[in-house]
Amino acid sequence: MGNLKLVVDHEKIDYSGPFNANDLLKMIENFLWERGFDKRQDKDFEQNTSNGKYLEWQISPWKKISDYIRYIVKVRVLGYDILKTDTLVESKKAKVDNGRVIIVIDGFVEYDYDSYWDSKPFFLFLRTIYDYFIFKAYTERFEHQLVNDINHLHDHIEKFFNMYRNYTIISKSVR
Amino acid sequence: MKAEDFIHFPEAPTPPVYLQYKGILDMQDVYESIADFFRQKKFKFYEKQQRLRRPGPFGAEILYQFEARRKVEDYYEWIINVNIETFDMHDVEVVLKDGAKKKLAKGRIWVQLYGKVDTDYEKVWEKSAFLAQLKSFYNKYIMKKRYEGVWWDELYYNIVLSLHALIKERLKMTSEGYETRHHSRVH
Repeated sequence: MGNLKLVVDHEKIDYSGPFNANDLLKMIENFLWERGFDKRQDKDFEQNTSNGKYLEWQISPWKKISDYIRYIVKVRVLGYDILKTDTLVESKKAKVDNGRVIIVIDGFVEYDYDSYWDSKPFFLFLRTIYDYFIFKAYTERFEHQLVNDINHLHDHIEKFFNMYRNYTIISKSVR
Repeated sequence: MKAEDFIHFPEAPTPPVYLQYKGILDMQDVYESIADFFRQKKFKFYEKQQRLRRPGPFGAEILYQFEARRKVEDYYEWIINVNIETFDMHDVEVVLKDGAKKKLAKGRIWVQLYGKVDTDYEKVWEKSAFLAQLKSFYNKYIMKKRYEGVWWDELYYNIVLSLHALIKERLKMTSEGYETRHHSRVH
């Protein structure tokens, strides 16, 4: 395995209120797809409990930047007590989900993902020197780019939740 | 020394995809949807194992293992494995929107999907050391881009992830339907 470096550590969003869970997940997937990430679905769990739906959804898409470096973005979505609810938006009725959702985003840069340079200790030493000293300017630039992508995704998710500001819950939740 | 020891990329596996669901479901519908999906995609579908463990106080525990194979070209084939395990399954009677009653199952279901692209499935290129070296060279230098970019990609996006989306649709999960399901091709 190559050298996996954690660049973005637990970027977190915690939200309670009305939202559309299906649209949220689609939006995250689509955002990463548009940026050329390959999809990897780690978890897709759903449990119907007495208080509503419990969701656990995790993807870790990857994108090869070159034959040496790739990005991995891990997005974990946890949903608690999600129930369908009647809401009022611009004096029209709409049915959306209501509950608590926690989103955690991690960003990794993986160097030497094909493990060409870790078969011998000397090669590993060379790789480390290369990453941290010779190739340093590029390494940092790649990391900044990943941070930028993840900040963009974070903004996108916040905008998505902001859209539900005008939704007023008018009825108790129904299962 | 075996031929597999020095042949480059004899197969390309996809990452496994998981799914868990707890609630009411129609197991027969899920099974038929999977079988129909493979039939439409021109796969040969095999039921490798169906194991019923001694039912506990909460319901039955059944393991289904399916394998689907499609010889896409003379040189490579797609192999998909589907493992489904159900826990605490018991029958319940539900009332549909039109008032009709239907028997469905209630419990937990666990699904694992994974596949691989297998090259030279008839082992024609492993009859001698020279042929094996040729195959290795072919995989590594001539076909590598097509292998990673087309064969594997089609298997992963059009088969494995499509089937995953289909099962989610049949279970009516919140995360059903992903944006890229119909992106890549029309047939």
